[in-house]
Amino acid sequence: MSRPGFVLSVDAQTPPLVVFQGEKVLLERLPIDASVLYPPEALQGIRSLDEAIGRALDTPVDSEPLSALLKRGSRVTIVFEDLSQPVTSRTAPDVRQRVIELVLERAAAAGVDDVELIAATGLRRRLTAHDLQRVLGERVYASFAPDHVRSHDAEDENLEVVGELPGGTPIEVNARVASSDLVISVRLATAVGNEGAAAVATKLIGAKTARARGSFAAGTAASAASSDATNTDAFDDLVDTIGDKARVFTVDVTLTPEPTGPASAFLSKREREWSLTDRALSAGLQAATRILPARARIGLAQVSGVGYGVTSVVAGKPSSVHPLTEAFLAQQQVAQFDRPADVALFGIPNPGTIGSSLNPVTAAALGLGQIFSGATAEPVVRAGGTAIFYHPLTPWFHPLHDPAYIDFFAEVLTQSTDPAVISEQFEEKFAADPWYRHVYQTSSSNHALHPFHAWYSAAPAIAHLGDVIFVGGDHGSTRRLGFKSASTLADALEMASDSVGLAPAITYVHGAPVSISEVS
Amino acid sequence: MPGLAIRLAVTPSVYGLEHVTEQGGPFIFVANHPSQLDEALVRNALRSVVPRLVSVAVEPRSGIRGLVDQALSLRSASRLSALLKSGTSVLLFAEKTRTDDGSLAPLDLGAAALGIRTGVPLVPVALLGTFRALPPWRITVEPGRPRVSVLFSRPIRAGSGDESSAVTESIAQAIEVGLAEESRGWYGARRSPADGAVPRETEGRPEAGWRRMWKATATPTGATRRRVWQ
Amino acid sequence: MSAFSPLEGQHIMLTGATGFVGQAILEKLLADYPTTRMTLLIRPKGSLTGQARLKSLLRKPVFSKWRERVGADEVERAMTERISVIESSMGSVAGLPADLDVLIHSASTVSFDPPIDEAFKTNVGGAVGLYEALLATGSDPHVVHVSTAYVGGITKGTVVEASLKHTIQWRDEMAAALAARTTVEASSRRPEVLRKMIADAKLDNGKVGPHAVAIAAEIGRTEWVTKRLVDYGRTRAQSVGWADVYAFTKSMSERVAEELWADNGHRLSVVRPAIIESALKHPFPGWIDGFKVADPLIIAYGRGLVPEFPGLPDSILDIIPVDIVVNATLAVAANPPAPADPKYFHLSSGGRNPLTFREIYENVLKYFRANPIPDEQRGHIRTPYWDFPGARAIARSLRTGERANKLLQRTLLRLPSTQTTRSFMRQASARQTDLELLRAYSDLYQNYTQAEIIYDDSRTAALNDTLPPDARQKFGFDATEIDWDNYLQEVHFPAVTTLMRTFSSRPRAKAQVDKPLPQNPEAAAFFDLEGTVLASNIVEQYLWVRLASLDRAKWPQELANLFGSLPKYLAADRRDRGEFIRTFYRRYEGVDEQALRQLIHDTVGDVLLQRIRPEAVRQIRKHREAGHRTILVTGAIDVLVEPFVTLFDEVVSSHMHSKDGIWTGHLSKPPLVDEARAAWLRLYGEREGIDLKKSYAYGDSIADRAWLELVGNPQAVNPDAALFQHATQKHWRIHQWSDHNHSRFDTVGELLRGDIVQSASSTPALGPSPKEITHE
Repeated sequence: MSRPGFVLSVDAQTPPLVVFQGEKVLLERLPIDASVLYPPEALQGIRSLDEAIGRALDTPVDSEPLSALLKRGSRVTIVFEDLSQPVTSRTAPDVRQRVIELVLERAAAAGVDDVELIAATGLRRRLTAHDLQRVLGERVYASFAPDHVRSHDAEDENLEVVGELPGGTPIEVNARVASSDLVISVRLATAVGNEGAAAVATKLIGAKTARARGSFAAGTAASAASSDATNTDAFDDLVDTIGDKARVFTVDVTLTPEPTGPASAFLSKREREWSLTDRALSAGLQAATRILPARARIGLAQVSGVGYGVTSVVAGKPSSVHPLTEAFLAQQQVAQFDRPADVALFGIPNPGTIGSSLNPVTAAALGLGQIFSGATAEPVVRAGGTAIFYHPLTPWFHPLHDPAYIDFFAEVLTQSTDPAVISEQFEEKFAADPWYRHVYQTSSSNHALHPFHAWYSAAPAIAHLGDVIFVGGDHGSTRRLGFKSASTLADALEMASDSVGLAPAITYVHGAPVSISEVS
Repeated sequence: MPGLAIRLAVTPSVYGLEHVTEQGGPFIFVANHPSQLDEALVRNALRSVVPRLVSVAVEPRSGIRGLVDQALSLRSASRLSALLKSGTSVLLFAEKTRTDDGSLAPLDLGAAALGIRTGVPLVPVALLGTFRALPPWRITVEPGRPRVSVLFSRPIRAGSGDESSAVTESIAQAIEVGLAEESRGWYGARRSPADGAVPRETEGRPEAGWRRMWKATATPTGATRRRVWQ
Repeated sequence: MSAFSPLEGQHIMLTGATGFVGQAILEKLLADYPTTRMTLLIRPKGSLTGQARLKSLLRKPVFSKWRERVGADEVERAMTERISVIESSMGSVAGLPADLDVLIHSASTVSFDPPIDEAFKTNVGGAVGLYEALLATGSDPHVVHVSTAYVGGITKGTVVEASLKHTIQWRDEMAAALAARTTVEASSRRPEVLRKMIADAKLDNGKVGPHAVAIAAEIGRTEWVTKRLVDYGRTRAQSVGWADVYAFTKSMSERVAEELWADNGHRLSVVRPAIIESALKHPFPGWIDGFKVADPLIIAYGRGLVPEFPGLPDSILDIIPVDIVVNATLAVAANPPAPADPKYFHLSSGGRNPLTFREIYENVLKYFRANPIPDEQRGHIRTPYWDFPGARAIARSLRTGERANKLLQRTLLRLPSTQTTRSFMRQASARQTDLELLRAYSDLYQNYTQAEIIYDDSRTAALNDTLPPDARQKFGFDATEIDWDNYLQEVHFPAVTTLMRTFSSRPRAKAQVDKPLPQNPEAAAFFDLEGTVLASNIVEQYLWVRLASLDRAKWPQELANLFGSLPKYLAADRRDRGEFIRTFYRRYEGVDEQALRQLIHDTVGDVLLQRIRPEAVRQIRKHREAGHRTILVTGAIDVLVEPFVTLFDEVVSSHMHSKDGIWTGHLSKPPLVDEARAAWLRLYGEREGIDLKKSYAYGDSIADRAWLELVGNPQAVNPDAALFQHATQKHWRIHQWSDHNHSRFDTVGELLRGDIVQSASSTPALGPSPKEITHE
């Protein structure tokens, strides 16, 4: 059975604790009396996934069974999460594939011909054929490729207007989705705040709509909460139906991190409970990260990662299913803590995608994103406190995915780190650039607005915090982002002492930040 | 044939293994049997999931293997039940006869009956491409590591109330759907039955024998790589 | 004013007034001979008239004390009333005034190693013209002919102040020298010579194009001519007993003066100064006009560039301060000899106040140890100790050094260009400069530092003694009163190093700040693709396409084949870009164009895109923002360029000839490379109304030189060694754009995955990762 999360107070007997730092895993000795927030231990994953999914599809919440909704001749679109949600396993098929196979089997049995699969990418990059195969499986992919499985294109010229934002900007969504009879949305979530908006349409909107919705001005004009509310209002009508006829049937799957192999299981255990083998493995990993070059370390991170198990599958009417999912995820939260700390510590691991690491802008946005929507309900650090992150912030950018990020980092952040200034001076230029649009549409690049939204998302956290310090951060890029870099934790605490004093209350949020909510 | 030899001889792809791994064994695997390669192939696919597996063919095997089968009385339903109870899975090649072109012949009811009797899930297995890779008249596998596929369908649970003919029918249907994937794709194979169209590649074939044979051994279309240089 | 006033009210004509000694004589006359009038023979230079040259001459530092003392009005008055200018060049002198009292002829070439004809034209022909013109006026001034002590020739022991003893006929030598030019010019056009010129030019410029080869060959020929003529000069001089052509021609011009002037019953004095260096006292201590004979060596030593030097430590370096030369010359001018009995004066220090080479070395060492030259980054330069190993040992080590360096440079030029090779290249060319300098010095100074000659100056000393004692302060020229240590430490070395500092303290090129590009709708920016916009080349492109369309089992065979042919391609590329492209594109024979397009659209396009340099994209964007037209010009095939087309306003690329949609392996038109591209660019500029002078061009290889040169703002991007050299010389902007962001191993991995994409039934070799905290 799973154990709830708990808070450990560091004393003299506490062993060094696991901290992720990019592709490295460190063992850090924390100051005495620091608090360590452990996440609850993984819930047991559902063993018979076919049955669970089948049950969910056949006994949905506030809806007829899926089979009854599928009719010969109807126009069906399956919308699924892109890689902003983890691929759940290295070896077995991805959960999306499992769900979609069962959905499609029912569609096939009903004699549906007009089926299309669309990845809900929002402003993120197109999925490559390879990505789609990973997510959907070779057989499903081969059945629909190349014309009937694709990624959402926010720059598509044929978008359909289905509503209006408060500012008057029309809400344009994917035309195929809006013209469908049935939209089956396959959603994955790992943590609270990670399951996204109730309306799947938010990930299928056009770039103009996304820009108006995500613009920094929109976020600051009203307070964060109320602007959320207005946005939700605008999209509320699109939760259960999109446009005039597209009915939405959702399949919500919640995930839990699950150690995948003996080599990495120890990383998610509590250090006090490490066996002798775990200690040996950890020592080996330490040694390996020290001697290996960065590139090889990326490979190491892939081996030492975690997979995901499914904890719940709920299907049905989105407006009814969404609260259930949220409530379920809330159970997985970290135990309550007494009061916000002066200093919070976070490790940021790199994703294990082959040959890639996080670019500094994304890494910073992800780290700061945890202040408000991390594993805890309330921020673990008080207003004006210090957040210390572990990440190298290497100025590395993926040549295909990140062209807008490269330029954002080189040309925008060198001018200003203030979101208001950035939004005012650069957003339009990037949004209108034909090259970004070209590579977004034809290659697999993130949309030009993506780095902007990532940076805006970090703004509330930056405003909340007094200091942001990256341990092991590349000096140049840390400075460019407007943060400070320290070589060790001791240095970082020394730097922080200006604002939080010499004996601050320290909280370390332990473990891999499970999954990171999408930034756009 | 050990796994390594299999991988050297052919390029195997395995699909649907997750249906098996998620459930506790044992299982009754019911497969078509177009070639001598089949047993080794299925064993290889299942090696990490189902370590204990005996295979039985409905059509008696000849030679020493037949004698061994007899000695172990593997062909008796009670013996197989006992094996299943002890946790050993069974791989049944349930076709009553072997067709000359590798297509699916009618299934023996015994497999379904065994499933009903023991309550062990039945897993239909479709084997694709093995006839082409090792037709009966060849001694060794075709050169060039031909592609073969092992498709595991969702397990079928049969209880005491089920008719063995109906269960057999659904097993055959699952295997047929699997076999149809080669020509119609995954979705197409599943879509066809809804129209009442003929999914069965085995039924109503008007073609002459040589044409069937020609089709069965033809290299599958769709080049492995896009050919740019002519 | 003292009672002593020589040259009172006389009219003096001065040639070579813009030279080192000439300036000093003019200044002295202006400052201390208030009643003399001067006529200057000045050669117009370019658009500057003689008068204009005089004006700028009077602004030089030598006159600063005088100007300060007398004020601007007096300067103005002196310029109009005391000085008149006759424009002429040596050899054609017209309209000399008839009322001259004295003529001081100090014009000569200053170079030691000019081509023989130039040396004769200036030093001998100039004197002939002058004296003939003077004879034509019918006047009888006293001529002071400024020669050099080194006319004494290669000898040992003491040289006396008398007419030179030799039987060389200056008219014959002059005729031979002038004829040498014709001969050498003719022989330089012989096919054997020209063939070698072409071969050499091809080696360095073959990749630039045939036109550049022709230009380089012609430059090579002119250089060859000059070198031959220099050799003619030096060898001829040595064959008749002079160290170099300078001393040789100076001695010939002494003969001219004797024959044309003295032998015609006129008064002639010849002054022969040794090595003239900075002023001892007048106009101010340390005045010097540029580096003189010994100075470059001193500076080079101070910079630590001269580890050893050929020279005899006990040899005498005969240095004489310029103000002593001036005073002696004017004293000689004021004391004319009898007609037809020329007098000779050595202006030297070696006779009575010798300074040995060792003493100089010790002084230099002492000076630079006390006042070291600051190094650019690392504190100060420490000067080396010399231990005079002898000329032979030094010549040997110098030769070895030169050879090694040449080899290094050659090798570097052939290696692929990287950051490392570029930095090696920079070091090698710095070293080459050092070696060339050392070589030049050791050749040049050999004659001075190994001389065992003493120039007797008793006649000059006697002349000095005739001066009234109270006038000696101002007009004296006694070489014995020089305190060498003091002169070197306090006067000369500070003067020379100050001069050097003003030269080298030019503002160093600051780290270039990216300014926004100027708006100009008529400008264009031309980009090369491979190596410039892309960190890749056509071989690599081919490889990706080829591998993506081959089964993995056939990869090793293909790779082996490609690598096997690489030497062939490299050799072709070294000769000519176009040849390489043609040879290489044969590999595309049999390509189905439609299939290739599809392949690029699906998978390979992304692989090609990965190689794009983000800086290039930003630069292109900047040009677009500035309203420039952006144009990609490449030898690559249009289909392969497809993924980049949207980056540019216009794309010009190669097109493969095809038959029924299948490529034949031939290009449909010659590839647009090197000079073909330059020709295209010129035409394009004209046709489209592009202002090439305001335009930009980005290239990475020496093959791009020809078309880069056409625009006003050529830019080298990660240049290869040869272009780097060229760009550095021409002060082109050199960009260092990031190289491989994405490793080629990853690309292979992606191609392998591409394999999976198309063959929908194999297990992924490189599966997804377990810990997919993805945010993509």
